[in-house]
Amino acid sequence: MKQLQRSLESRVRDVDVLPTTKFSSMTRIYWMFTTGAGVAVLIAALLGLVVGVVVVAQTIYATTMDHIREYGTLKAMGAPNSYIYRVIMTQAGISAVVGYVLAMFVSFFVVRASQSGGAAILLPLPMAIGIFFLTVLMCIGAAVISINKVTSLDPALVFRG
Amino acid sequence: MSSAISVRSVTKEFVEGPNRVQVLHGVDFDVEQGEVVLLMGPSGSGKTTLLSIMGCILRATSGSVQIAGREVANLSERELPAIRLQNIGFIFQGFNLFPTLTVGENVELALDLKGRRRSKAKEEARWLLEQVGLAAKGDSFPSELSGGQKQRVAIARALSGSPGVILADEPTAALDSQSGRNVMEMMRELAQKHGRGVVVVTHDSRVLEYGDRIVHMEDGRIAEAITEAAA
Repeated sequence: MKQLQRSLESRVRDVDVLPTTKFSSMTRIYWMFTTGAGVAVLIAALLGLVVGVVVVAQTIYATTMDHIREYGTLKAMGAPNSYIYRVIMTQAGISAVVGYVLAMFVSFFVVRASQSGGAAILLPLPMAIGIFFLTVLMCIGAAVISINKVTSLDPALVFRG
Repeated sequence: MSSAISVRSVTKEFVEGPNRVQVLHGVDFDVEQGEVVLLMGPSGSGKTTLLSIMGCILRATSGSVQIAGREVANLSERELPAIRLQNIGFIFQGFNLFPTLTVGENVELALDLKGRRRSKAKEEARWLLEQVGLAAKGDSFPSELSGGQKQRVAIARALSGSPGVILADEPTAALDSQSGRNVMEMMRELAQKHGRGVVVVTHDSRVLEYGDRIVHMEDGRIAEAITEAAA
């Protein structure tokens, strides 16, 4: 292979002769970093992650605040903190699954539509699975604020009108 | 009769900014098994604070609190929920039922907290609802019930797991007079038939006849006059 590469390079001037794998990795580096397109996609993905965490955290927090008296009642009845964590985590888990299913549904059509365009988007199964776990982690992380709020809740609030 | 609750020399101070406000001043108070005690007094007299301390929701600043013979005043915040869960049933002025759960599920939830299996909890919840005359309402939501019915569900929930003590905060305040009487009759029956100590904080003079004792509080102290109710 090396010999063939050298022989082609000696015969044709101003041309790079590369094996497929090398050409592939060079192309990826070019699109990822030289053009900036890849970095832009990465930043967009990171922003999506941050915005997602904030939106889920706000949603779970708002739901928790809507039901703060019920959490107070649970605590007054003697529910241990672990029981209340479980309730909030379950909400976060449901948010993750619903959000993931909706996002995958949209992604499926976007991926299909991109096949006929110039730059096909790939969504391999391992990546889809990875995104699922990332979504669950993101939602559980977002529930931490609500958990802190409920943990510090004074159950005596049930006696206040 | 032995004491369901025994409170000795209990004080409670709250810190409000730079000030310390003493709400209870050396309160002594007993509730025997099988009796209904009405705790009365003006707003700010310390009734609800005392109820919260007896319910292990607040910790006393000093003094002794015994629930079913066990000292609880020195227990940590982490240990108190287990005491509440096993020994105390609460009835609140605003019912505090879970609106998205059915009546049956509201009672089952309390049993679930106490570690009952789902099938056992279902069966026990049905029995408890029968005791308060609401067996037919098990699948209804709290929003479909009258105030009196909601309070009876709250009583069924408070009874789950057979706690020795029932603490009620203004249980008749949101009810019409007939519903209020029904609720108080149920409480008296609870105390007498099942040997539970029942403490009712109330401003409602219509319920006086249902108390075995009426304890007046004023300025964080038990007032001198402890009246035997004309039951």
